[in-house]
Amino acid sequence: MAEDLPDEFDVVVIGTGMPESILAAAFARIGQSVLHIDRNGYYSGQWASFSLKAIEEWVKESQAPEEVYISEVKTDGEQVMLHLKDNSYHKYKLQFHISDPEPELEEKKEGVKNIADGSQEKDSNKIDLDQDPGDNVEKEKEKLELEPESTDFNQAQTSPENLKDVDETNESNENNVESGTQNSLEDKPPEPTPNVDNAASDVKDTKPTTDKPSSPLWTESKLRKEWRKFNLDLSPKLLYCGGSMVELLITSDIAKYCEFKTVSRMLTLMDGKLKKVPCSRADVFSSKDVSMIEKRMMMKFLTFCVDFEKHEEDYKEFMEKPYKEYLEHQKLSKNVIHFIQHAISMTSDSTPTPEGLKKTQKFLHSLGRYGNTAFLWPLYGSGEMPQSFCRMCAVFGGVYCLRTPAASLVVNSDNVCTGVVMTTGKQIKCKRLVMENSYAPDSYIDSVSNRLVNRGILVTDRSIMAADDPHQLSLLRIPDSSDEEHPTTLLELPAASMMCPTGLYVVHLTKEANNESQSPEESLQSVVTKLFKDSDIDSTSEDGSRQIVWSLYFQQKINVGGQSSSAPSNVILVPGPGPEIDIDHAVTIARKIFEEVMPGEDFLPRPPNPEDIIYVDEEETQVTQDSEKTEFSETFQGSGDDSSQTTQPDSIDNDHADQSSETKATNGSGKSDVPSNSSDIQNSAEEISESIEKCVIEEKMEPATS
Amino acid sequence: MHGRLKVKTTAQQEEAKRKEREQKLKLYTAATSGAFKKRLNGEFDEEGLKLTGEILSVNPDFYSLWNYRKEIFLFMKDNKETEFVQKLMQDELGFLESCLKVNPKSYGAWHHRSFILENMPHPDWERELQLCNTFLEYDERNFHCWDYRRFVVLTSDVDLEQELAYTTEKIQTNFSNYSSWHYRSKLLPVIFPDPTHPVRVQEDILLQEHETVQNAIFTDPDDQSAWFYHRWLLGRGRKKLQISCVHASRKTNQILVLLTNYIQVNHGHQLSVNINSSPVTGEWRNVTGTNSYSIIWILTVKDGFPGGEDLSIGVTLLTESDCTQFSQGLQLTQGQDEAWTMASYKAGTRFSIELSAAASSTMEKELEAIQELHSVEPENKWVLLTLLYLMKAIDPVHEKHQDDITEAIEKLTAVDSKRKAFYLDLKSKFMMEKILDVQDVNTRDMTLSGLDLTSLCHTEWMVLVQELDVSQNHLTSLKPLGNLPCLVVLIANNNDIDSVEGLQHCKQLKKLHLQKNALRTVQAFSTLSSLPLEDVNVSGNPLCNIENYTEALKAILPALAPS
Repeated sequence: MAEDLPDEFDVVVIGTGMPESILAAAFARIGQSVLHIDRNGYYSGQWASFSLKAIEEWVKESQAPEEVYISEVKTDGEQVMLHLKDNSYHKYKLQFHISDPEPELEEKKEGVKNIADGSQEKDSNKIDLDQDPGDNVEKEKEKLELEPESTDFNQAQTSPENLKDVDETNESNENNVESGTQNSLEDKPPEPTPNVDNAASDVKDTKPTTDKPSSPLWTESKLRKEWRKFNLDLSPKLLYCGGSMVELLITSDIAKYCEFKTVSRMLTLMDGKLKKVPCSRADVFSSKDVSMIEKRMMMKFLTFCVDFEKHEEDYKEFMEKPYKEYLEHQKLSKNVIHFIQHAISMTSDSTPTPEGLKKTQKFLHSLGRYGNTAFLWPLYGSGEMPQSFCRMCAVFGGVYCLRTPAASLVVNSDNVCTGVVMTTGKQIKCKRLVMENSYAPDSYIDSVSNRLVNRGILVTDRSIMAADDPHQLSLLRIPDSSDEEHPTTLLELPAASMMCPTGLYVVHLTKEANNESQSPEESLQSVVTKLFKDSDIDSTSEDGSRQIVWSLYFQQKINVGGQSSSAPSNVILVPGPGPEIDIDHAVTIARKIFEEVMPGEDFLPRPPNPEDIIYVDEEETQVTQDSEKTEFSETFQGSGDDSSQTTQPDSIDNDHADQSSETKATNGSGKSDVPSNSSDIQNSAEEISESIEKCVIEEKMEPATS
Repeated sequence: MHGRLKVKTTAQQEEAKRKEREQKLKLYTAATSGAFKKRLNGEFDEEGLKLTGEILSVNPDFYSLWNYRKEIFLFMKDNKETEFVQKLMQDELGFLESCLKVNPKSYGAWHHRSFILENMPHPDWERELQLCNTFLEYDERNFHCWDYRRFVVLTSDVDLEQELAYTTEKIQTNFSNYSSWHYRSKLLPVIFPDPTHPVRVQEDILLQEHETVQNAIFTDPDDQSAWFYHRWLLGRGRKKLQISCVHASRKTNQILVLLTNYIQVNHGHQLSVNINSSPVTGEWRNVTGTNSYSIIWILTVKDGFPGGEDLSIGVTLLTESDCTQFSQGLQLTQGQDEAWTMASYKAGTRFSIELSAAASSTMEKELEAIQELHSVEPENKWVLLTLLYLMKAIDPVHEKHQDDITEAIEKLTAVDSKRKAFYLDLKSKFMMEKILDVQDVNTRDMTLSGLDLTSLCHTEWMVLVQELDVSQNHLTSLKPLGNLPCLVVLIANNNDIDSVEGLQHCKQLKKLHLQKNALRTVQAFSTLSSLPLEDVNVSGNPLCNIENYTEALKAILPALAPS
């Protein structure tokens, strides 16, 4: 398909991660012709969300050696080779922690059926192709269980801490650890085992802890059967309710493509117990963990933080000192300091006071807008976010090609990039090129700014802290006593956030690493032990045994934006997702770049309302109101049907993307072409925030004005 | 298709909007006049429902149309089968729900819903409660819905403890919710009544409530709703209705009764008098000569007291709601001009009742907590005010806390200068309570001079006073002295009084000194013309600048002694 592409674009964007997608949309929005390509068969690159099957596939493919492409195409300038594969990920460890029971007579039939299902999975793949490009390859378990970092694993096994854990876990887990595979006591051959729907009696001997009728029984085959219901994020990201991403979604009207759920509780570990952090006024009121006077002191301090800039004299002395010292100086109690430092502001002991205040303020500005906490979680995973921007880009004429690797950049003698060469040999000229770091040639990158992020994705059968409402979406930040600067961020996502089948939870662990010596699993070990092996941690739960049913650990190497001076001036590198839990950084990066290269242009202004759009027939030059506004709003549907298909809206071609100036000419009415008067914008902003709200808290009725 | 993207101009949009509005108005007026015509013709049919429905669905605040609908439903109820009516009303509930979605705070729609539920053959109260839940989910402070909820709960058989739990839940999501706190104050005395007191709540429950509300005021001391509830918790003590004083005077032929609460005679309460066991007829009037709510009631004995014998006078108060009676008697002997009985009070208890429902240990604990809050919020007016009330309640005669009380009031006038007058009046009130509390109830002569009073309160407790000196204060009005029917001498020099309003009820007043006040006109005295005033001194008032003011005054007050 790539052969059918035009030969020239204003901007070529390589990679469909967050900053790239924002930029692609911003360029398209001001009338630039944009080609947006990705070497993967799925959107969002390092920001993607995968089904269970797709993530296994991703692990496998990520470990394949990088192909070398030799260009035979003649170009005007020098060809600089690009990476055809993302080399950011290492040290994978994927495990099923539950096993299937020995197949018994009555299950044989089902087993056969399941195997048949496995080989016929192409049917189901169609449904989910945009997310699971690699599904048509049949699963081969042995390969998936491949463990490149086996040495790491051995270390883990011999460490005393780990041994202790092994003692505490149940038999099947112990076996898992020892064999290093997902297989249980029976030492079955590593093949897909028959599915068991309800195997309480069968599992008894292998899983002694699950004989309680209340806890659902999960088996490997049951998990695999539900593979579609998983959305596992490579880099889970939250949105501050009052943050720059939410603002951008509203002002650009991209919010209409997104759905969210609020983070429903902030947790913290205090004296070895999990506690709910009182962050809103209502929380503080009902919290039993802070005394009456602590409530006052806490509220007083938080109220001060809302506009702390106005009271500079209050913190002047602490400008150079850590925030923690400032908090102590405020005569706040130990508990309150803990809540503010580790949960509300998410700062470390060394964070300077102004930064701490700023972070607290940001949190507070985000409170109460869409719910009781400051964060939103995108339904179906944060991989949805870049896609929403791609959609807006396509509406304004952006052309999309997935599974379309660019082989090289063409750079002329003035060190200006004039275009790209595809692996198909097709050449495309461009004036400007945006590219994610992992695509860029090593020489373009300033290697000093590399950072390591250890990530763990766990699927568990119980929440870390039981609650009446099983759909709690929890955020928890756990300081590391031995590495104070790099706490672990934990995000627990319930089935209601569309991340996994009902009854399960997806837990994301993120921790920046100091060096490569520790495996991701090792570095996250203490947190996992604390939260999933220690039954005392949650005082509200009667049955302390939480079980991890599946886990994946990996290490991500990210380049935080350092572009070396040898890169052509019209090539813009953007970083992948960092260890921070919120997504706002991507907006900051994209906006900064856009304002630098397109000075004076609007950054993703609000598109006109579909109802206000009139289509003018060129032949008759007669103004008619087109009732088929579907053209405008649905042009981008089905972009994922075929991953390498180009999607180009037929009603809006590149000429027309520059619609505002054209309208001016026809109407001759000067400046009021675009609905830019303040009340319009306000109305639409309200609509949008309403639409966000709708996703979050059902249909909220407008408060009556009387 | 090669349509070019255009954006409608604002002028175009406006034109479209204008046309739309015009169209709407046309339909609206047509439907309205149609509906009124039908109503006038007495057509109570389904077409009437349809017609009014169209209008009400866009504007649910059209009262007349709701009334027409009510008439239709009442007509249907009388003339159609039950099943039909049930179905029709069922539909009406659905329609009302859609109206409430347009305006969830529409009085008309909520009232109409109550009407339908009351008249429905088979109302589904469970569903109505669910509806309330839904609407309060959208807006937890919609008092219309809270009102309706109380109506539903009252009529149906709902577990009140569940209702209490519901208010707790709502308060936990947002405690700035008057309705929810208010509902609590209604539920608690019903669910947990104090066995020893008719209107109180069990002490242990009270303590829990104190804790809850303290959590709220510590979290946000600027939120009024929590303070108001706090005030209720502290002050829900109510005086038992009794007769405090009976006074009989041969001179005026009047029997005066002072009660502990305000009542309206012949409206739920009856007062009756026996003299030597024979009933006396006559009309009870309050001090102003009317029959509106009052704490003092006066009966003029038509034919005068029987002379030449000792009189035994008995007054009985009957409360109709619970048929309780309270009687008080007194003896008026042959030679006596007047006689009275006055219930005696232990010093310090006369006014503390207002804030004394909780056990004193609870109050002390409460005071401690509020003092703690005060130490971190020294400028908060709610904290200061509550502190003031608490200190006053614990220490009614101001022994321990006198300085603290004075200081708190001074601070309040400073931090909340907009309500300075309120705080000064409060100070006057406290001052008068302090004096009246220790004063002999039978005294006829009182001096309240030089106390910085800005207002006079509790004057009903001075009902027997004949001579009063309120000089050297900051009084602007003498209205409360209307409660002193026995007053003969009033000295009120050096105040800011600009009116003698109220004194016309002091039918015995002979001597009135108002030197150095703010009286501007002689006409102000016209209301006093029927009084036996013999000595009036108004020197030092602005009215003295008027020429011949003494003559004018004499013309108005004929009883004035020649000077």
